[in-house]
Amino acid sequence: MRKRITCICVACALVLLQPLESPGRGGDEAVRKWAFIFEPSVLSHKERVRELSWFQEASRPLKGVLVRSVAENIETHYWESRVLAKAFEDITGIVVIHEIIPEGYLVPRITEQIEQGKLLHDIYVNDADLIGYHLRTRAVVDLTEYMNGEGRAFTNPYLDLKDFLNLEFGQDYDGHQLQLPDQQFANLYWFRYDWFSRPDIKAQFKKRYGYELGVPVNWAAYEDIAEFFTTTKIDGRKVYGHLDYGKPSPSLGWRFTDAWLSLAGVGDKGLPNGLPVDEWGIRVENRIPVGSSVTHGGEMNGPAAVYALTKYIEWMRNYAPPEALSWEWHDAGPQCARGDIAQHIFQYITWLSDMRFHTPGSPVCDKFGKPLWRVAPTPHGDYWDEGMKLGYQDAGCWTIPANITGRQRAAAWLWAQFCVSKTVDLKKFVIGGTPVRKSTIFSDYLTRRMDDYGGIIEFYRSPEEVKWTGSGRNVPHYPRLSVVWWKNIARAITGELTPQQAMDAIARDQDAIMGGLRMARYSPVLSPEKPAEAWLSNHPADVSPKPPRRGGKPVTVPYEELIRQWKR
Amino acid sequence: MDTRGRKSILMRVQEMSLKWKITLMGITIIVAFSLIIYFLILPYMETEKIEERRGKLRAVVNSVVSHIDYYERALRRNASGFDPSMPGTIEDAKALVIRNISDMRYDKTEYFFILDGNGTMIMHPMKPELVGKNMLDVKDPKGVLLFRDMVMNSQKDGEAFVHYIWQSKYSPDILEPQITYARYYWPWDWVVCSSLYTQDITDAMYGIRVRSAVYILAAAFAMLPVLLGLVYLGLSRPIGRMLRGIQEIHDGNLDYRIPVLSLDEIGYVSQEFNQMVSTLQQSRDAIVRSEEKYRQLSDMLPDIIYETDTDLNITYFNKAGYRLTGYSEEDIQGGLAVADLVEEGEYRRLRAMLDVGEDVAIITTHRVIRKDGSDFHGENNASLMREHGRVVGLRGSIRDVTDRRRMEEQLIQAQKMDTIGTLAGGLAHDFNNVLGGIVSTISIMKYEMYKEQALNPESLRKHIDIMERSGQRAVDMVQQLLTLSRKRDAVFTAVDLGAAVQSVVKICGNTFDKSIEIKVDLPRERSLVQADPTQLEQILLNLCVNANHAMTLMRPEGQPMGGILTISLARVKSDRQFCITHPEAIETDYWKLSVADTGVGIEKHNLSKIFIPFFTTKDKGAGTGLGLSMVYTIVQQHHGFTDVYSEKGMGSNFNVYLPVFESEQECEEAKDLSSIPRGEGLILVVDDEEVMRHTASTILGKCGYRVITAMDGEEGVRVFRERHHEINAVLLDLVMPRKSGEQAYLEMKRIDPNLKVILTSGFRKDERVDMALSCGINGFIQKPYSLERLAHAVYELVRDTAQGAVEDA
Repeated sequence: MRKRITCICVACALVLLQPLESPGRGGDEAVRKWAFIFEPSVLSHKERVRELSWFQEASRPLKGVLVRSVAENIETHYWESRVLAKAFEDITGIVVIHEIIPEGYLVPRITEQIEQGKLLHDIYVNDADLIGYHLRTRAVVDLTEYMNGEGRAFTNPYLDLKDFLNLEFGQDYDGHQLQLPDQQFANLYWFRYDWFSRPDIKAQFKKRYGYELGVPVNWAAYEDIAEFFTTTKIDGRKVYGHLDYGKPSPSLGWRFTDAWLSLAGVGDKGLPNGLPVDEWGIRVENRIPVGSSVTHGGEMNGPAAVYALTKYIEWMRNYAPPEALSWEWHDAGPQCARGDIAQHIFQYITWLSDMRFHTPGSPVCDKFGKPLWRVAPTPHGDYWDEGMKLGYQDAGCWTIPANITGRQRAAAWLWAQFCVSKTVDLKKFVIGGTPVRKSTIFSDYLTRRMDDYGGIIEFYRSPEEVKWTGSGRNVPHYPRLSVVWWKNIARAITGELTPQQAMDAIARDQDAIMGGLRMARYSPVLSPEKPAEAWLSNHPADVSPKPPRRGGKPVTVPYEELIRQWKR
Repeated sequence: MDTRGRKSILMRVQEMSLKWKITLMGITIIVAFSLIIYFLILPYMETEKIEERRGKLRAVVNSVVSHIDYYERALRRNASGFDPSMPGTIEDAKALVIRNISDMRYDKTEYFFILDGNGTMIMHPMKPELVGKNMLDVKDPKGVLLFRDMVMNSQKDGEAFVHYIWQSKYSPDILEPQITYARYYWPWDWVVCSSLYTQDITDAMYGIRVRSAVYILAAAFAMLPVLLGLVYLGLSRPIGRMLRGIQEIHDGNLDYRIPVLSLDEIGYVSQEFNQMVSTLQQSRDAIVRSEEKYRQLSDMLPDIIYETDTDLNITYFNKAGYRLTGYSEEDIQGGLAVADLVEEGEYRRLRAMLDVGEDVAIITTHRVIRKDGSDFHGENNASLMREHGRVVGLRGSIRDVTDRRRMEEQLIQAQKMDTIGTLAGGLAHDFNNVLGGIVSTISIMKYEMYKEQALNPESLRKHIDIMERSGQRAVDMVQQLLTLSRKRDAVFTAVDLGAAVQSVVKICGNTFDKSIEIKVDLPRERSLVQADPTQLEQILLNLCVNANHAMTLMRPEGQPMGGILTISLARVKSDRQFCITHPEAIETDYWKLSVADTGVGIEKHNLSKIFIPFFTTKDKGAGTGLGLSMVYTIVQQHHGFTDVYSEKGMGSNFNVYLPVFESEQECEEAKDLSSIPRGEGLILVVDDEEVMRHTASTILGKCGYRVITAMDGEEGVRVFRERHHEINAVLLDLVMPRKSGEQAYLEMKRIDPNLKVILTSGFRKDERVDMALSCGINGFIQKPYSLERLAHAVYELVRDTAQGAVEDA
């Protein structure tokens, strides 16, 4: 017996002393390894091997190329940077440096590369908010043309563009794909389903407000619910009926540019953005922005926009935690998980992938880690009319500056496609919670785990999802125009400006910038000014710019009814 | 073979005593319990132990991963600014973390090691020489690629547990099972691992197994005698006492009570058993008393109460049964068949009732034959006896109705004579006419003779013709009256109802007022019923006479006499619907005899009373009130029923329904005279009445016999003595002057012991006849006899004589 053990130990020692070789470097082996690791996936192991093998074959002429890509600092992109880049290199031999930086730094970089012709990065994951800028500067690669021409050999035959969610976010007016979605997230109403379902709480609410506690359909109801929870202790504990952030920073602007005004009712009917006036208050005629002030026929400083800013300030002061005033976007993002927030009108779902929303022991999860929260359609304000967009969602899109050419462009394009391939997309969603493909959303894997996502899967599967859109093609220069927002809003928060004054300032600055822009095509041309009263009174009440309105009655709806509508 | 074996084991188990069954059950439970412990609970405990260790591993590794994540989050936050307290680059952070983790220990000696996503060892505090080496191809002695499993599976699923064999931490010579938990931390492409040995769990479980085995076996051996003792004391003995109690009850000792010595289930069952026995005892006493009461009541009844089995053997008689039939209990015990008691027809009916299994609510009247061969008329009301829905025999009562029947017959006869009296007026009138024709013709002839006028042959023939026709008509009329007035026992035979109607119509035509028009509507087919012909005619006559009275005597003064009497006959099928509208009907075919008149009709309030005896609406002296009552009684005896429709002033319609008799048998009236048997030989007819001597001689002569006669018994004996060698048979009247038939027979017998005699008498077959027959007389024929009856009787007697002669020869 002892002899036998000794033999085994000798064998172990011999094994340990063998020259150790790094796996995954040999081509087929790398494909097999990563096909094994990329689980869960909508593809079978065999299909994954086939797709990864295509990448391996297509990239042969590009072996050794270094791709410098950049993306904002969310979990999805970290995973791309730390895992996918390594896998991509193992399989293709193309080295990728996928830099992760805050969105506030990223936009200036792409602007700099486009406007100054620098070679900062080969490819950007850039929000589709900039599509209006890209289509006017014509400084990014038209992927439609590239796929059909020069880049045909480097275009994944299994790419399946029809499988993408909201592909049109990255398209110009003519349907050319300028940006390929890599991740996307929606802005939805978030609430504590467990509290909203409790009979004692519902009874208290009904007693006080005379109607059922439920998902608020409009701002009037949201405001009642915010007041109720802020003034009612739940299980003896102080809670808040609202969440927001207000630190003067570029992210404060996103709070508004990401369609807050459209929720209040700024803009005209029509998807993806209102026409002729969109949710930025910009009036567009024949693809040409003509102004955002009411005097130009825009609505940036109209009654609806002022109402939007007023409510933002009121609610943050009255119903949000006091520290919210010092938060930025990324501070506020995961705050709902702390357990004392009853509802959040403006929750970026990308934050909901944070483990604090899914871990047993979290105050917003049950003992199995299932969420006690739910997401629902964003309530709308008094100026909102049926037919308008209902909320905001944006796609971080792969964007190749036009000055990246040849092998760099091809290698960057392969890298982009790898990050959105069907092989990896489901696993990427599990890590980062930012879906990009319909096959992921409708996968059996997620069907079995719908309970873990608090309604997000139902939202993406719903036909209603198209009513949540990005900033759109009408914004001619997102980087320069978005800057003017946060500074003026910050002054309104501090009381330095009234909401009307703040919106007037934004409209004025925005028009001034647009008036000075000289773009390659569809460049803004300000229209002649007319008195505001003439714009506000010379058309039906539901056409922008809209005259002042009186508030409607609060309306709520049971969550189960909403889910039924989404499943219809 | 196997099957037989299994059956054998099963049978053995079934045959086991309860004590051994419970002991076997106890052993089975101990074995099953041991198996459950060994194969379910102990493995489960081991799994749980290992799971606990896995949980511990996961917890400590995740703590380390949280530590790593802290620096990763810090790095991300630091991307936009510089926090001097935090590492500035990821490499710095990794170096810091490796330093921290390499010093971390839990359970005093357990540590963490880190691989990268390619399987290269990044940190191993115990084997620093492995750092930088790729571990993917390292196997344990069983060939498990443990590091590959850690690296690949954790990258795929986020985490992985790997089980393998590894060197003991105490000695490299000892190999022990080990478990490693690997958590992939993708932001740094690190696989953070920690391992624990599980040998201690295996050892602990082995110890538990051994100890459990010892404990269980010891407990089982210790428990077995205790179990046996408990079973014996607690079950076997009490159950034995119960069994003895049950045996006592089974043997009929209802006074026995099981001793109740415990308060457990067996004690409770014993109490309940004793209670049940008490109840049973009370019930049995009640039943005995009840049976005694009903037996006494039954014995007090004048009617026979009987029960039979399904073979129609009598199983029970009340005292009246024994008394009226003459049979004894021994006869019943020895087997007394119903067939010995009743006529064949009744036996068949009872047999059919049993076979069909349905109660037929018919009370029948039939002869009941006593043990000594005599009989009486019994009215039998039988029904089926059932037990648990199954027919087990018959139960019924038989009432001796001999006297009642005799009275009924007398009543029927009296009523008949009353009817005849009613008819007599009309007959007398006609008879006068007939006699008038004869007397007048004779006086004409006498006158012509006195005048010495030569009677020319033509005139003489006319006179004789008139007298002959008148005489023949008188004979017919007298014959009809005689037929009607004859009194004899009811004999049921196949009777053509149509012929009976025609016969009665003839009487009515002769006797009713000429203002009555008689219409007859008969079917072409023969309409057979099983009936007594005389009673059938009595029914018809009663109905016709009633109709006649309704159209004549009962007419109010001033109303013209007469009307139409319609007699019709039709076959009706009695189906379910018919039975609903005629409750007395059963589902069979009936002949419907209708007698309708256009007379005065019957008041509605009288309709329900017309069949009541002595009820009449006729004037005093015109009716007895018995006519329709007799109709009702006679029809009932014929298993038929009646209904009537009448309207005041419009007339009445009486319907009589009699069951159709389907038979190939020839009916009495329809016999073909050509079938009368003919014979030969010498017959001595002894009768004091010349008419009968003449009649018998004529009939026998027509049948081919030679006949000699004697006018009384004495002469008969003398003639027989002289010619007994020639004489083949004697027709001997019973009642004669000088020497009775019986005496004459005895003397003739002495002359020739082989003598064949048929006794004849106007009396019905009664005791006198029976006494004569008991002397050896061969047969009896009642007067008046018809040609065919006499012919048949003599033919049978002579043929037997001839055959006997042949046999003797």
